[in-house]
Amino acid sequence: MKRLFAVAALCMALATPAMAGDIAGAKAFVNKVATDVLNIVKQPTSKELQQAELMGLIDARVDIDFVAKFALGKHWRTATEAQRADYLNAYRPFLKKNYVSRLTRYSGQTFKVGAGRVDSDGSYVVNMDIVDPQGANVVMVYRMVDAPKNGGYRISDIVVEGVSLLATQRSEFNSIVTSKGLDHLIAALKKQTARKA
Amino acid sequence: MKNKNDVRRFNLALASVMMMALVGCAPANSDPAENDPMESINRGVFEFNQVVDNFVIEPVAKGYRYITPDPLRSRIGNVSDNLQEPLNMIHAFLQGDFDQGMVSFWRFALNSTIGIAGMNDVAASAGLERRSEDLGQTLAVWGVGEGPYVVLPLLGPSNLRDTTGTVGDWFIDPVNYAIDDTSTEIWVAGGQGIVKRERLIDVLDDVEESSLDPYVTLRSMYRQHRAAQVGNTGDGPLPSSGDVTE
Repeated sequence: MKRLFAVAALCMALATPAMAGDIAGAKAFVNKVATDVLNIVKQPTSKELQQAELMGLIDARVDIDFVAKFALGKHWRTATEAQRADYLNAYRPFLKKNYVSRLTRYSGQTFKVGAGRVDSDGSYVVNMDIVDPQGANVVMVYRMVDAPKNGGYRISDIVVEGVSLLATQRSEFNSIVTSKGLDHLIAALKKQTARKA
Repeated sequence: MKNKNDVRRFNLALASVMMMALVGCAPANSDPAENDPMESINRGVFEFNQVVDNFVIEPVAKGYRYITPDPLRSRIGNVSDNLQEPLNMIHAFLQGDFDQGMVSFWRFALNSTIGIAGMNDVAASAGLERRSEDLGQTLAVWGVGEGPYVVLPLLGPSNLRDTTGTVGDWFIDPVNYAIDDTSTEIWVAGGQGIVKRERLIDVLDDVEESSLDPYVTLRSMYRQHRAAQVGNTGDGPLPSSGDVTE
């Protein structure tokens, strides 16, 4: 009986995120992530605590390894196993640090979740308007993949006014690897992460 | 009339400097996909711009942000935006987008009058949303490719098509004919430049802080942003995972 209960509970836990695989689910996910971010950055706590909480949120909501591989593009294929591991280890804190520094620059904006759709590659795309009380509104687009096994959606890219963070990083990395090599890029990532914000 | 001739001479000089830069350079060894055969020259101009920005333009933009309280600054921004509406209208029409052309027309008409010289964006409240159009975008709609990436002295990232657009718009812009005084035109353009730079403070600070190679980052951002403006979308490029499959 006990065992049956455990199986039923497991089934329910697995079924819930899988069912969430639709546009409404993607919009709800984006709404939740943005709400969580605002709740953290609006807290009157220490900066260190905010940063730690944001890091945890990014870990849970962003598909960091996908982003890392995509940012490296064609150079991922030619990298050795050791380089790949080294690169991923250097990239994860680099991405988190940069996201956190952007998010903590918060100054009173609010957001409105807009339309959503499924793209030809199967990723979910949700629009968001950032309403800035001091200036013009900003159009943001979240791109995410649905990964039921990992507990639901994972953000893969954020596009601001037509500029994709991922595509930008990809051309930057490509330029560095082409001219100076992958090891140089890995060293640069580590150096940038170690630099004080 | 004399002033107009001065402007023309200035622009011709600018254009010929550009052309010399374009013709007299050998392709650098960069990725053809980045569309930047003049990378070494561009990097030189970029370095120069960075120095000027650090010592002059950025301090002025930050000073402007510091001395203007928010409601005032957004009104100044609205005035600056409103002065671009006649150009937005012309280019929407030239691109065959009649509806957007009328939106720009009504925005200029309403904001210049009820909005008091453009200070208040009353048209946006009525659902008439601003959309920035220029000759570079019109040429793109007409099928002109972007041409090689160019970093212009002081003006920053551009490409051959958009540089042509910038020069051409100086002649097309009805506001320049309305002002009809070269030094005033330059002051207005300079003021609009500071308004624009102030809006970019956070973006450019972020690039400086997080980028491993700000030159490449800004090149990529410029190209993506222009592509989105031309297509009037905010979606950005579709990431293809094809490259990373193992």
